[in-house]
Amino acid sequence: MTHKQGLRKNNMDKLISRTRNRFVVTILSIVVSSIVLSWAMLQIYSSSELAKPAHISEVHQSTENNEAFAVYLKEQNAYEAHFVTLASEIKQQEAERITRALAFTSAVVILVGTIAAIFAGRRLIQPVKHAYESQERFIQDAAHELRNPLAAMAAALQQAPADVRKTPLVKTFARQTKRLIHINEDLLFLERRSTKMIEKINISELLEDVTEELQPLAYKKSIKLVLKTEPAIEKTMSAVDYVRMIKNIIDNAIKYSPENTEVTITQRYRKHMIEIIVKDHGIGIPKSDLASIGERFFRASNTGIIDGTGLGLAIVQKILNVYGGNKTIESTPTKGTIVTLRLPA
Amino acid sequence: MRKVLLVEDNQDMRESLRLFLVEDGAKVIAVASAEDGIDAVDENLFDIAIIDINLPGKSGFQLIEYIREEGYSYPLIAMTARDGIVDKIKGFDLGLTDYIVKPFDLLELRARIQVHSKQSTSSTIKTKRFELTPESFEFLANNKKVDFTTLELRMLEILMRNNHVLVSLDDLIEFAWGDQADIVNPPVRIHIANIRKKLGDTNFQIIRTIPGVGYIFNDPQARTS
Repeated sequence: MTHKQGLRKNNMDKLISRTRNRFVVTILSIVVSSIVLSWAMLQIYSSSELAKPAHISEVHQSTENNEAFAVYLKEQNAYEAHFVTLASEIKQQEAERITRALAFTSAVVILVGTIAAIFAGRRLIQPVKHAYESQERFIQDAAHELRNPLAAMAAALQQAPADVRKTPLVKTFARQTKRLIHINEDLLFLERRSTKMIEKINISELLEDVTEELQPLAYKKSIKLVLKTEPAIEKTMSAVDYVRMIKNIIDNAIKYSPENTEVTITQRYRKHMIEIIVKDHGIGIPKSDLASIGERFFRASNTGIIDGTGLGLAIVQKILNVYGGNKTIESTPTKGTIVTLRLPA
Repeated sequence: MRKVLLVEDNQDMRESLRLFLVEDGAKVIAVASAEDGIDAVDENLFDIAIIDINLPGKSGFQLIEYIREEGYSYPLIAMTARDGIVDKIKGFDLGLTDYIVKPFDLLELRARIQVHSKQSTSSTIKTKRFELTPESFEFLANNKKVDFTTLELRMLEILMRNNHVLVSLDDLIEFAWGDQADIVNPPVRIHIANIRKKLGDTNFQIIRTIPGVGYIFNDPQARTS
């Protein structure tokens, strides 16, 4: 068994780093295109002006206010052609030097620009990151804090005398307390951010375990759980995540199925992916609801009195995102639902 | 009579737990803070203490530390709303015996108290329907003898001793296979399946599977005579 300490990045982390990268790329492309533009303009200038041979008349024009220089030029008249040749050559070399200097300056500008863009990106994203982290911390703290009164409520209800516990009012309280606890625990799982031990796990055995765990629930409704898994499928992930994900899907299948039906669970390798298919003959999901399924607290319109938090599939989606997986849901109302989860093998 | 120290600042929670423990036949001293807990520890000799970690003023950890520093070795069960691994390590370093995360089932608390106090001198383990005497390799289901292999009986022994409490796969293997645990890759699931069959546990309710973690034996407590 190989253990690996893996830092789990959540969606927000991915989103933030994506935004930061996009910012850096934008700034860089602005820098590069400005450089290309100025280069092009300088090239045009140097080819039109610097590349031209020098003209003695231009020099004469500049001597108008300089008596001594004008006299000197007159004395040197005989060597004019020689001077013009030399001046043209110097001009040419100057043009080449400018081009070389420009290449060097551009490289420096791009380098400085990149560093500045990365730095600015970090700085700009920081407040957003902090805001998100503090929101996440708040949800965690709130959910943890809620556990205390919930524990007191659960204990008091359990401790109540048997005849009191049978009254409709107390029954309602007990049911709703259970529901609150469930929502709270789901929220905690959804918002947790932690360093998890990730190891290579045998998900075939784990799937058998999950099916065993849910057997009593299925038994209550006389639902037959049929498990078909390829043996010894291994995957590097947190066992807690795998169990949570699969349990949510199978639990849904049982919950939304009528009595005396069958839920089939298939786990297999397909095209470099691990595919987990859960098929039920339950109430199905209305077409109009399919797009919203998996959103936090969304529950399909036909779920009625069946208990649920509306966070189950959001948790599944979050886990799939962490491991680069995906899911598809095919459903026909009153006929059943097929949920297919895919994880990279 | 078992003497229990209960430290919990939430009054409703404290009262419910107190009543529950009293009904279970314990003498309970219930206080609301670690400071009062320290006083109670000085004045009484307890058999077990149940301590909330998050308390106003001194924390539950400080109380645990105090109890151990004073040289008391009775079991300490912490209650907390935080299940972070850091909290756990901190608690066990100080001498914590067990840990229960809020909200919890009162039956689970009772089971843990019983597991840790281990007061019974009789080696026979009794639950409502089952009875296991490890020395004579005898197992009774509803007073009828059921045949198990020695290995299955070892597995049943640790599971039943921890009735309602999770037994981790590692603990189960170590207890049942002992020295051989490292050599073979013990086929736990096959043995569990056999045990379930013999117990008539068709819907996996007597032995519950906790995926990837272990198993929980579930049978109501035997009536205390």
